[in-house]
Amino acid sequence: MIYGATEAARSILEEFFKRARSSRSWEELLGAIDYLYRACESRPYSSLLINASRDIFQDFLLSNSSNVSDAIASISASISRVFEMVRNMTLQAALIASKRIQDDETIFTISYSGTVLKIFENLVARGARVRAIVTESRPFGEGVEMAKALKSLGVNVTLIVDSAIRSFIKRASRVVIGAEAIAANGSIINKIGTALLAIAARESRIRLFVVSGSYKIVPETFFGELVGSPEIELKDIPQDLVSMGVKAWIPLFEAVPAEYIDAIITEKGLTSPHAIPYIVRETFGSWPPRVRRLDDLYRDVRSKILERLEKT
Amino acid sequence: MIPEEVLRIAEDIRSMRIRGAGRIARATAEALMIAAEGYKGDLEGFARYMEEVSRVLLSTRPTAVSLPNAVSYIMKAVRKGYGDVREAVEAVVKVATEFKEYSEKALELIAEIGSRIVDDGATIVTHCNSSAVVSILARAWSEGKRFRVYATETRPRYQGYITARDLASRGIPVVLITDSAMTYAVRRADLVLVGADAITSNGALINKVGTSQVALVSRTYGVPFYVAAETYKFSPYTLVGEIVEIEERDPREVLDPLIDGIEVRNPAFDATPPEYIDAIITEIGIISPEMAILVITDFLGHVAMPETVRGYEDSEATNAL
Repeated sequence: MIYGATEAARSILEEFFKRARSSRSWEELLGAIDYLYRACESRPYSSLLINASRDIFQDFLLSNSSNVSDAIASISASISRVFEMVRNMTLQAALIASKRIQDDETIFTISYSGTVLKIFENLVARGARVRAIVTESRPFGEGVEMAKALKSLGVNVTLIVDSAIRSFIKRASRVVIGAEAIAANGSIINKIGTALLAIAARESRIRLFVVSGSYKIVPETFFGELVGSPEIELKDIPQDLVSMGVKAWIPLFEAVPAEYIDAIITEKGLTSPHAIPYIVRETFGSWPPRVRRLDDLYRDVRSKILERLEKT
Repeated sequence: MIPEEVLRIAEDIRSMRIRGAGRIARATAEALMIAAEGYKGDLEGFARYMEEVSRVLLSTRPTAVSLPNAVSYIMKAVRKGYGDVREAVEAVVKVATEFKEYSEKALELIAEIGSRIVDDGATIVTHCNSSAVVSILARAWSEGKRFRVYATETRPRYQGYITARDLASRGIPVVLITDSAMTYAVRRADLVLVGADAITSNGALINKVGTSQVALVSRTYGVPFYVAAETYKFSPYTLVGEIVEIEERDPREVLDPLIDGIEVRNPAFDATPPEYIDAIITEIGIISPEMAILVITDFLGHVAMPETVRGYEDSEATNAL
């Protein structure tokens, strides 16, 4: 079971790499590329997956390999580079965040975030006596997994239902969360329930920090595209309700407006959410970002492979 | 000896087989009636016996004010002077029946008044399960208004399923959502409507945990937030400075089995400040939450006097006066 945004994207990239590496022909490699693109299409919210795929496609086009094994080598190199980069970004962002947190704080968090766990790891290593409050995060209960992970780190952790956020928020010194995606205007996309937490934190003047590698910024949002969220059906409702026609669905993710966020911490530092364009300039090399859309790149990658196929 | 059936009702209230403030109040009246009818002793021991039954009932759920309100309504009759036991028992049966009838009637009146704020075509959000809310929506639906309802599942005990059943069985379209999706639902809603476990003398609402954050989100997005509550849910104790104790229930309702090293907190209720409440729909009319004081004093007849300050529940003291 995969809980965090980074972990989920990584497992798809690993599956793609497994398929690409075992390809013996251009057809098989095309199959692997199709798998990756379809995974991106069905996860428009997974910023990390989309940005990583963009890099992989761009590297592939640049390498212009003439045989399959060269192409695989180039993909292998770009995947290693992406993994390395994501790892470093996460570590750096977590390090900056843990420096900001004092030794005796109570951190409120939601769902499961590998980045947030890394912060706690740093704090524990420093000898800080931090406490954590986590909501169970229905419908999948990732908060329970987060509580278990925090407990294994030796953090004093309290688990509550999602409905009890406002009842417990005043006990926290700070809210620290990860992100599924960061949009152009500094708002973030995260697991359902995060907006509730942000509004409750603002009401009680508890600061909210988002910690995430800059890889979570979705450049497409600069061109007006919304980060979509899949609606999921709640599977565990009683059968008699289903037969009565009761519907049970919710979006998996939701947006938190920038004005509820006190700071976004990326590997580039701690900034206001409204300063995301600054991070974009640093990450994508320019403002506005000159990035090619993933569907464009995919089309080019496909036609390049088909070209090679015809030749053989 | 307290009759078996009375103890069973008390246990059902404690274990939440009987739940919802209105139902608890009616079950309490019923239990006191059964206790009175089953009394075997003499007149002298009757009041003491009924006090003991009251204590058993009062110990079941600390937060629901409807329970002590029902008890004090009926115990007033116990404390009057009677010629013999039969006369005393008859008086208790009479007021208990009166209370139950009043409670049913109150629901009908709330349904009638509340249905007027439900617009045709509206989207309504509710949290937990409230017979007052269900009666309002059922009434509006039967009048031909068409609307849809988002019901939160209400962790940890999923009372939202009961709401969904109550509404869907009448043909009302219901979408169940997780409590975590409150913001999503409220942003799409025209009205938020919830029940009450208690209303304090300054107009705060005590209701199922999560209610205060639905209210907060409603205020954030400018969606009207209404409460449906019978007047016996208004707490006279808060008038004299008592706090409403928030019941903390078994953590295994949240996480079962518990995990060593993870603390689980499970408060059953929370407090919504009056400034987040647009209005309270009662059987005597729609009031602003700040007018809760009028319900407690002028309508329910409680005033802060030295003897009431000493304690409503301390009947020994009341009897001595």
